[in-house]
Amino acid sequence: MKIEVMSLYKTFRADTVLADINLAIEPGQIFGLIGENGAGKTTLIKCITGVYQPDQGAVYIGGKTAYENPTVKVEIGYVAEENQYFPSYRICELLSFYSLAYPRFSIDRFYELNQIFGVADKARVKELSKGMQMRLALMLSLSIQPAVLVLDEPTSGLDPLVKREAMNLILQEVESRAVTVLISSHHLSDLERICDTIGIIASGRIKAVHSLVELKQKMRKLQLVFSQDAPADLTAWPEVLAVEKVGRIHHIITKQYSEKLLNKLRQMRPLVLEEIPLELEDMFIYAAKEVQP
Amino acid sequence: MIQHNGGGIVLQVDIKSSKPIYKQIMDQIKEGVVKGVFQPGDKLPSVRELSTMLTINPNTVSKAYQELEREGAIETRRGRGTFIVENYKPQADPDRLGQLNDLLKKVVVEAYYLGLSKKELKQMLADLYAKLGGARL
Repeated sequence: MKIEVMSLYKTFRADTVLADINLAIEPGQIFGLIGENGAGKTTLIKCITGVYQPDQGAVYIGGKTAYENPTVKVEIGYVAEENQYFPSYRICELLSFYSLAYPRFSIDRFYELNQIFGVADKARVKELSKGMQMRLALMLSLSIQPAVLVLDEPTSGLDPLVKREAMNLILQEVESRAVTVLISSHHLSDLERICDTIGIIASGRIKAVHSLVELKQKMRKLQLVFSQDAPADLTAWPEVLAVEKVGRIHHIITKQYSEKLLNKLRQMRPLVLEEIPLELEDMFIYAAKEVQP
Repeated sequence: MIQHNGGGIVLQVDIKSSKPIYKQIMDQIKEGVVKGVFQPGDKLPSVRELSTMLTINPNTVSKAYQELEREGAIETRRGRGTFIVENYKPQADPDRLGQLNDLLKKVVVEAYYLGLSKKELKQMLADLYAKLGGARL
């Protein structure tokens, strides 16, 4: 199912937390949402999953409004940062609850997943550690066989082995059932592996949406050492996003990398001209800078 | 590229590289064919298998396979999987020839700035043919 967010605004008391958010995520796509603490990630996610009502604008899941709409909510697997389950329920009791609430809930699928995640089904929810509760939330959200998976920092609190398993399970859902995935994470290297598209949110606004392939093509980091002075107008070049200087070493972050740009730089006969790796985290930081007025 | 457990072939991705992941997969499979790691008729992992093996987006794997198929390097047999083509027919695709020309231009320019003579560059190329080599080149 397609996720569409149109001119969404959300305000708490006097604080505008989200302003003019527009997004479209196609079925089978994995969208990564990144942003600092307090940028509005979780509020946006709660609007999309129909927990919050938008003040203005709309959220559509498969063309229907999510808020207060059970027919849409049964399609959404939502793993929150902190998941609210009845604390005194045993896991097996929770499963009965889920099979009543979600028509496609598969108890077989749950136990199949539990082979990997290993949560004791006789335990009560409140007895589980934070990591175990996260495992439980992931298993339940996958077992409802959702059309849309919304994951708010799902990998926090998971050990590396389980994290890898969890990501692979999500990828399999995308491959086999064309599930639409929205995932927020501070672990940018996780997003880098799996996302088609990355959206950057800051101060309640979507600042940039890029396909990762495109972002990697355009944004590169070059290391240069000039024999004489560096061209003074380097920062003003249209292809250049930022220049950092450490002694004689210049680091150029490009926003429009091209062979032409390289040739232009080569003509200055630099002693060193090489490309160095640029991680998503750096891209995120530079992209956030770029969009500032 | 290494061959391991159960004959499954493990490719690697470098997420820090500026080369898109789908391109990394394409290049590794092509290099594998040239080196003989992949033989004509070899079955490639399914999209699901490879995406799980590498923990990467299945759309990325599909894209790599689609491009390779378009280039005629692999083929999908309905209901059976994806295979290295039996008899690869090199096609002089003008687009890709143009790209190759650009790559070589880059090499020639780089060689000039490294102070490499034309002869030395040719020797380097010959060495690479020998190294990657086998009977295929």
